[in-house]
Amino acid sequence: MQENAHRDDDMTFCITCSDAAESMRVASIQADGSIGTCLDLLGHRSDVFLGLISDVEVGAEVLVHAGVALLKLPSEKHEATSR
Amino acid sequence: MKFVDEFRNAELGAALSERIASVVDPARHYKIMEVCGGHTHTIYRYGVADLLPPNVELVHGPGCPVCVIPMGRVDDAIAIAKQPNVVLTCFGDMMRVPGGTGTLTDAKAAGADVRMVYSPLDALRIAQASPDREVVFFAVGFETTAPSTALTLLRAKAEGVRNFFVFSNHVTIVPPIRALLESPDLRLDGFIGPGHVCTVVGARPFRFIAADYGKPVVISGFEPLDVLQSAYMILCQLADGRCEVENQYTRVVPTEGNLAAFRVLAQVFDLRPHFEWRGLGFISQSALKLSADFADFDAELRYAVPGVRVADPKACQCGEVLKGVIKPWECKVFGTACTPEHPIGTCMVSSEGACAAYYNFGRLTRRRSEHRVELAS
Repeated sequence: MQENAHRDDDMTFCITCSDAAESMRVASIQADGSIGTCLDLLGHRSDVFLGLISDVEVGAEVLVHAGVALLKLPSEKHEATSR
Repeated sequence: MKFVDEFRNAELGAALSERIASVVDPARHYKIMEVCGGHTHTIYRYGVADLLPPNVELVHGPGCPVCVIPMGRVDDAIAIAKQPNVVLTCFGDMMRVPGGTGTLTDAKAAGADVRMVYSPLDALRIAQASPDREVVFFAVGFETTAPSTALTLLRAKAEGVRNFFVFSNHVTIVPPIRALLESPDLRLDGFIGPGHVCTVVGARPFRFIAADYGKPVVISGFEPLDVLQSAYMILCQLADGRCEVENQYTRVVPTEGNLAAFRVLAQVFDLRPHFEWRGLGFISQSALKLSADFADFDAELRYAVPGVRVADPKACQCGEVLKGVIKPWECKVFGTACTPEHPIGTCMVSSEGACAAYYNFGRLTRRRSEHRVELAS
């Protein structure tokens, strides 16, 4: 979890209330499909719940809020920053 | 960067600003509330308000999850943190929110084991790694963060974790909006709706604002042009005499919410009969508590929490700021006794809070505009 500490490039927006969403790419998925390791735009890894969205596969882009993927994004939208 | 640069483009912003000026009635004063703290942050960070005509006022709403937590609940969390053998985990901002007896950071300095986490799952991992400790997660947030807490609890139950507890302060966004609409001291013309909350709840819960109160709602993204376009869409509705729920953030938000998220929320949480909001008082059915099936994980049942209502400091006007009655700089202690380094009120803690956002980004802009007025007169 320490890897997340420098996510905010210029320390100007809130990361620590976790009310900021970000788009992440799924790097791997556990056997039961409930949790995946996801990469943010800077390549930092986090474990993310994937259970709320269907048809997730490795390489998919997802909108993550407080460690849970709420939405599967079309692939070209991975670079969108979202809050 | 794709999908970022386009939504921060200065030329498009200027063009949109002109279109906004063309639809407003110069004789009318417009008040538009952005419900979500993320929008408040964007508005100040990018100077969105400067691109609007002077008679279009953006009012900041109660959508910052840290700002709406009353002081008594912080004191409850501190009381839990001081229990023997407890590790209290929370999002970082919550460590700096003052209660009546100090902050969680103060409690940590005094010896309590308080740790910052980025998600409830991190807290569960701490519990699993420390089976001899009792790990409590201080849960705050709207419908965007509640599913994460719910999924973590489902996982804790499935894995038979016995030393993990949740102190739930999750709240829902619709009841405070209704309370604001009923408030006699606030006249609003429209709402910029919370984009990411709508990925969970969809657009439907906001229809009452248009249907019952005749106010336009536009669900908005979080880049500066998103907010500006949403303001334009609201002003167009007002000019046309329409009141509808529109979705500006179609690139992310589907009209329907996330049904799987609804299901896990219903499984894990019940609505509280009432819950205190900072500045708004008690609002019925506006917060979530753990359901009976998850009573074994409920920190409020596990520990004796004081549950005392604590009045805000007299100097602090967070309540009026949260209701949009006053601007951050109109608070008596703004920028003097109350700063992001030493916050008195919650609005100065989180950077989504109106006061912190304004303190960090808005002060110079206002000074410039005041200077212009002085020169003109």
